[in-house]
Amino acid sequence: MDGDGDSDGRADVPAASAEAEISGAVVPSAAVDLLSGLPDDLLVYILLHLDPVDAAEAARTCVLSRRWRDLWVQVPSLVFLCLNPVGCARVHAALAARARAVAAPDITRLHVYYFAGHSFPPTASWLSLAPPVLSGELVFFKDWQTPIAANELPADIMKRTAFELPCFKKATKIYLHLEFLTLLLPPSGAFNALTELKLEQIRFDGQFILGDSMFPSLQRLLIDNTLGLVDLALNSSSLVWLKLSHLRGLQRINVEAHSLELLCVVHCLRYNVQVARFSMEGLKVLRWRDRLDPILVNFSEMPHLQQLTIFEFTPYGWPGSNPNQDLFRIINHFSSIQHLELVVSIEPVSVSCSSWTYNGLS
Amino acid sequence: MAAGKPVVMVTLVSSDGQSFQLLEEAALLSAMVRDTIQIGQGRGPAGIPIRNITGQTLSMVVVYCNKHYTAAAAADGDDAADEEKKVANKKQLREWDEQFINLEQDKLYDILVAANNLGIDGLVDLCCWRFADMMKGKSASEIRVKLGIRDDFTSEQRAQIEKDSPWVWSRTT
Repeated sequence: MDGDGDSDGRADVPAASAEAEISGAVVPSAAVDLLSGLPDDLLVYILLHLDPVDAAEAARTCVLSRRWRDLWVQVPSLVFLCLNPVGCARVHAALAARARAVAAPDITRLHVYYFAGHSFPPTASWLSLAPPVLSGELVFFKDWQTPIAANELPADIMKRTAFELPCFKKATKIYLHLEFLTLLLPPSGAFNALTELKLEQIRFDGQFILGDSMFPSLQRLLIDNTLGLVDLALNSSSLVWLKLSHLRGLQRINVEAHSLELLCVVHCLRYNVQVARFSMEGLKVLRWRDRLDPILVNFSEMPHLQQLTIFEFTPYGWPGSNPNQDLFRIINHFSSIQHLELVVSIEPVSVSCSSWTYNGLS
Repeated sequence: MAAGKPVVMVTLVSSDGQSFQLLEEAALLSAMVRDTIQIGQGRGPAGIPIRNITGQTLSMVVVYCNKHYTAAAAADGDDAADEEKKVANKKQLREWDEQFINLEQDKLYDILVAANNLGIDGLVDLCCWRFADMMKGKSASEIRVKLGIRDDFTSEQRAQIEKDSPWVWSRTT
């Protein structure tokens, strides 16, 4: 409880004291200050219900009175919508205040949505402040104000700007949507508590290595829509769920994840892949929407596989062509299948060229 | 309410001696009542004494508990697959909540304190939402007027705040 309140929790009626006059803020008010006498947790709860996309509204209450000054630093959830670089300065100021506050609990939710066009301020200023005060989820979502395709992005901006992710020892979930800024992982350190990592629209500097030493607790990983990722190496004993999609230009991939239960691969191996190796003996669900050339793609045994979903079966084709070659290869990889989902793609094409294309399924 | 289930009532007694009878299941929304019943008390004719909460406030709390118990019981009986109906019911309950809590500050404060003491999470949440609603979109001085908060900073403290966090003063993002 706060010391300023009376025993029954009701503070005095505001009076025009000399002290208040100095601040120039005395305004006649009919209301009796009931709130200031409430315990911290209730006041923090009230602050939590302020603007859900602008943590600044809760922070602004620090100017109300001494009672309110340090309350907002106890709010566990901070969401910022940055429409210009000042927005990022706010994130910095907020995290700096959290770091300064002695008794403030950790942030359990830090979301920064950045919609400020092409200019991208150095993120390190606020990012580097976040790890010690964050023990929940981090979301950084960057987007232009208007949708723009990857190949239309000004190349100089993307090359210049990197998103240097510091080591978050206590964070449990990290979700980055970088709109093809280059992601740089810290040179050392471990994301000890991290169980979920989602990376979307990311540019990589050629290679991405993700292993137990840096991500010892990682269970779920999504990598979607990348540029510059040539070599992907995942070596994890904790990973359970893995989804890879649209890894453009990928040449080499090596997945060693013996606890993995679900693997989904979508359009990663179509054009450039030279070596793809998947060791995942515990796999239960395989969703495959990609090329499968047995010379390039190598699967371990999957004795526990329960469900296989394959895209897409093309029921029609020119005589002599075999559009379902890869599909049959993957089906024939298994000696028995109990549950098979086939997504059949039927396009409104001329019927004269059709002939059934299921030859090859044994 | 499921048929065949014995109807158990419980009596809550306010600090000024008013008694309120309600279904035990409705009263169980309160963690305090739950704890009392769990240790085998409160079912007798004397009821459960609720200290520090007047009859006027307690009557409102009882209305809230009855409404939410009834809504939950009705939802239990519904077809679990009917998502649309569930969403509609939820929306309706929220509308009821917002109307219910549209109160003057002093009453709202009393209910918040009562809900907090009784451990009724949904009602605490609702009261906090309502207080936040009074603050939303307002400047610091407007909030002070609305809630009667006295600006008790010294000029030194004010200067320090401005120095620490100039960003909070700006309303543009």
